[in-house]
Amino acid sequence: MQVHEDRSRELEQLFHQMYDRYFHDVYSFVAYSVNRSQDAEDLTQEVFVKAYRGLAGFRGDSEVKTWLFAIARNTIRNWIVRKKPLPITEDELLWQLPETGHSPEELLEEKEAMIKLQSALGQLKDTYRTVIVLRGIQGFSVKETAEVMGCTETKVKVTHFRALRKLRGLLSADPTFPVPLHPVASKEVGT
Amino acid sequence: MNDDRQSLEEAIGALPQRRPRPGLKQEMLANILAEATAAERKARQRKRFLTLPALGVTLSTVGSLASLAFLIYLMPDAAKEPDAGRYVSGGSVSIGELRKEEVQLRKAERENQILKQLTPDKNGIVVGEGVEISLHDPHAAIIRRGMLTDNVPADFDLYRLVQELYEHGGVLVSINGIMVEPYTKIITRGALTEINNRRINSPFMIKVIGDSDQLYGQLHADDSVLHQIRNNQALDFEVAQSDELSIALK
Repeated sequence: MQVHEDRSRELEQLFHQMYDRYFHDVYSFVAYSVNRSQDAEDLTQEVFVKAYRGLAGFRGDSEVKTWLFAIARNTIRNWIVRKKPLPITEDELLWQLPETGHSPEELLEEKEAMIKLQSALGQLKDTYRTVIVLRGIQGFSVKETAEVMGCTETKVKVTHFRALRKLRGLLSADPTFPVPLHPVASKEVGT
Repeated sequence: MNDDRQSLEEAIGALPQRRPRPGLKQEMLANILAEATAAERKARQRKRFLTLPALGVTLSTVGSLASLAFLIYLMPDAAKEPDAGRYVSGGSVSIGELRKEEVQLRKAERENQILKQLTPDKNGIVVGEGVEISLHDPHAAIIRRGMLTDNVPADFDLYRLVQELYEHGGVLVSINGIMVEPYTKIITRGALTEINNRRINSPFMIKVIGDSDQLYGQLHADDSVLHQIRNNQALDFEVAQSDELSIALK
C-alpha cells in the first residue's frame, strides 16, 4: 500500500514537472494545428489528461517531450477527423502576435506577413502543417519529428520538402507577401 | 529556388509561439487533475463491474453442470416414459445426445427468461412494454407493378417520427428489425428507405419499447408526426400496445 502511494506521488510530481516545462510548447503546437484558441484550449487539456493517465505506463523508450507531442499529434488528428476545424479569424491572429520594438509601419508590415504566413499554414493539409510546425516553429530534429509522427526519418524529410513547396506555391501567388518568392511550376504544386 | 526555401524557412522560424491567455495554465491544471482523477475512478468502477459478471458466469456454469448431473441421475426413471427411450442405448447414455439436450435446455431457459423480462441487455435483446406501429406505404405496390421509383412520392419523414417516439416515452426503437437511435441516419428517396445504409421497404414494422400509455396517447394526438404522415402521404398505419416487445441490440 505504502509502495503504491509512493509511486502515485512520484508520478504526480513527474506530471507537474512535465506540465510546467511543456505546457506552452504543447499549447503552441496544438494552436497552430487547430487554429481557434477555444479548440486549442480544449485539446491541450485533453492531451495532458491523457498524459496524466498514461504516465504510469510510460516505458521511457523515447524522450518525455516526444512522447507528449506524439499524444498531442494523435489527439489533434482524431479531432480533425471527428470535427472539421473552422478557419481562423484575423482578429484572433492579431492579438497573438508579439509587439516588437520596430516603428509602426514596420510593425504593421511584419504583422501582415505573419498573418499571411499563418493563413497559408492553415490551408495546408494536416501532415504538412504538422511537419512545418514541428520542424520550423518548435525546432524538433528530423529524428524527433519522426518519433512524434510515427514514421521514418526519410518520410519526414520528404513530407517537409513537399510541405514547404506547397506553402511556397500558396505564398508566391500573393504579391503583397513581403518575402520575395518565385512562383512554383504548376506540376510541382500538386502534392 | 533554394534561396526561396531558405527565406521561407526563416520566415517560418520567425513565427511566434502561440501564447495561451493569461491564467490558463493554472486554470487548466486544476481541470486536468479533476478530469484525470474522475476518469481513473470511472475506469476502476468499470473494472470492478466487469469482474462481477465474470463471477456470475462461472457460478451459472457450475449451476448448469449440476443440473445436468441431476438430469443424468434421473434418467433411468425418465426412461420409463415412452418417448424417453432415445436417451438410453444399451443401458448407456450417448454423450452427443446429452450435449444436444443441454443446448436445448439452455435455449429454452433463455427463452423463458426473455418471456419473464429477466434478460439483461448484454445478451443482445431488450424486452419490455411498448407499442408496435405498422406503417404501410401503398406506393410500394405500384413499384412492384413496374413503375419508376423516381415517380413515386414517398418522402415521408421516418426520421421525425423516430424523434417523436424518443421524445414521448420511447426508450428503444427498431424499424424492420434494425435498431434506430435518436440520431440514426434515415434517408428516404422515392420508395427507397435506408437506415444506416441498409435498405428497408414498406410495410414498416416499428417497435418501440417504453411507456406504452404515453406513446399510444401521443401517436393518436392530432398533431403527431404519424397523423401528419398519414394526411400528407396517404399512408395507412396501425398502432397496438403490447406488454412484451423484444428488440435486438444490433
